[in-house]
Amino acid sequence: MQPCSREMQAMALQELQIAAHDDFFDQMLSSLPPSWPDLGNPKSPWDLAGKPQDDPAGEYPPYDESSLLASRLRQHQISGGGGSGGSPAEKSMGLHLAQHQQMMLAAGMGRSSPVGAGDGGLIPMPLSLGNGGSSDSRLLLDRSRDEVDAAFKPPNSTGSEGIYNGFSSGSAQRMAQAANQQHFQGSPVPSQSFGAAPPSSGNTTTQAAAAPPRQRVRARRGQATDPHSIAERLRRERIAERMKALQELVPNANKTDKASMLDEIIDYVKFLQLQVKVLSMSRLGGAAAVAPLVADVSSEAGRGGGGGSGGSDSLAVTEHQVAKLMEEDMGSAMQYLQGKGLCLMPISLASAISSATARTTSSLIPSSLNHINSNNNNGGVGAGINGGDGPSSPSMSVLTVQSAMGAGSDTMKDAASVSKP
Amino acid sequence: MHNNKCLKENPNPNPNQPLLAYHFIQALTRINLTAHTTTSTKQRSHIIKHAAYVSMAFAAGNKRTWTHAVLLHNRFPLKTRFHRLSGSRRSFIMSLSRNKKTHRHAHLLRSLVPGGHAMEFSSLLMETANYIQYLTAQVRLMQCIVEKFDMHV
Repeated sequence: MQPCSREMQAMALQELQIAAHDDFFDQMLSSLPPSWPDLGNPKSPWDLAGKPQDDPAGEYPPYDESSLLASRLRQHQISGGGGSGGSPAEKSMGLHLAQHQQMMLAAGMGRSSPVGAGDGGLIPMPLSLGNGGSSDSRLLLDRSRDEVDAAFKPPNSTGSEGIYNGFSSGSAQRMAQAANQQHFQGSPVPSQSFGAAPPSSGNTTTQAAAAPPRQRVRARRGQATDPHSIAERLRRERIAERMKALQELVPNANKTDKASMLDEIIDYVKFLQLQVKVLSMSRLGGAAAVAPLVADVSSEAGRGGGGGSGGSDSLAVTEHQVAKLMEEDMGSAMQYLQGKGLCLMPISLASAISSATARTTSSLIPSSLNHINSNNNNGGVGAGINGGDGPSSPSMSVLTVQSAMGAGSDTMKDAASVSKP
Repeated sequence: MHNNKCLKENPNPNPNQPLLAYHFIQALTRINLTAHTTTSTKQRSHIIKHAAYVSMAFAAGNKRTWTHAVLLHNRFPLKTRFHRLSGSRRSFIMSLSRNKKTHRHAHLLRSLVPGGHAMEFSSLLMETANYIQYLTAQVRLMQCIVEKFDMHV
């Protein structure tokens, strides 16, 4: 009689586990997170759990205990999603189960079969686990209760829905019936669900839905046999660390939200591609003179502070050029500016931007100058609005072309400024 | 000071700046020699942009997916070979990312980064990081060249 029921339970449980893979897991995982507030609730189970500690524990090797623990956890979480409502009743039943289990274990103590070893390992676990033992014992109690539910469900339901339904309704009756069989469940699945505990417990940390009123153990224990949960956990960790690496690259790294960070990354990639496009347009005039530049590039590399004065000269030259061009034709002036990666803006805006950049950090600049072409790391020239933040901070130098506006076009009545971000 | 900052600064060791410069300038000289005055302005800018990406991919080496995609696209401009993920794996991954927002982001990112359609999300992020590194290096290089040219005007 007993072996038959055990096998039945084993088969049922295996079915349960097989069925519990993909969609089920999502439901399960969504309902997992944690009953941490409940950790402190039941004092009495803890007192009752004190009793099992009296049993001789040292006979059973720890790995059996952990395998049983894993199996318990797995069944626990399989049925965990269903019953947030009936928890107080369940806890009291869990106490009964623990006592009953204890009796069964005492009966099965002498057995040398893995069933007995597995079961025997369950009770002494609070002894051996030390600090984690308290939560483990509660978990054991919960598991024992859940085992009952899990044991009872397979006869009734095949799918995940059935499990939830079965769990929430009339579990009291089933507790008594399944109490006889509950301790058999641990044996058939020790090896299979050995690793189910850590991924399940690991998954509790990743999900944040409504918490069933159970206790959860977050500690990782050994390997996980369920490939999907392992893969999912690994994948999330990898994604998180890569998002962190990306955060350092993208300038506006102050976002904590993953979605906004992704938005920022996407915008930054678009911005960089746009920069390449614009700069390639500006290269048209210079393509003719590239060859002599090859020699100059190497010579410029060694030059020291000549760039600063050269910079100011080039800006002054640019200024005059733009002024001359603007007298003739606005379009060519704009084209010339665009080729240099500069833009034309009203002085009020320029002063606003420069004062803003002087006050705030450099992180403000890329976003505000997103539509302005080049993002150059310049020394402070002209208005001298250089934050001096370091090599990577862009600074602005603002030139005003007020002198040219006297003869300027109609559209630019206001004073304009040539700003080189 | 511009020149120093342009050529010297490289906080992360990954983009090899001199190599980038070498490839890009080589491409530019080649363009200058071959299609000098025959092509229109728009065509030429397109060619230069293309050359920029190709030289970037050359400098980045062969280890990255996006370099493969860029160079492949360069060789066969019309041939779009979609190495999509295999069906089961893809459905598994898509079932995991049930969040619609991340999925939209992922789709956008895949369309931006070359060769992004054939990758999972985590490797896509890695590729994006590398791509951004090389893009910034390339942009800095091009800005330096533009500046140098302007100074000689």
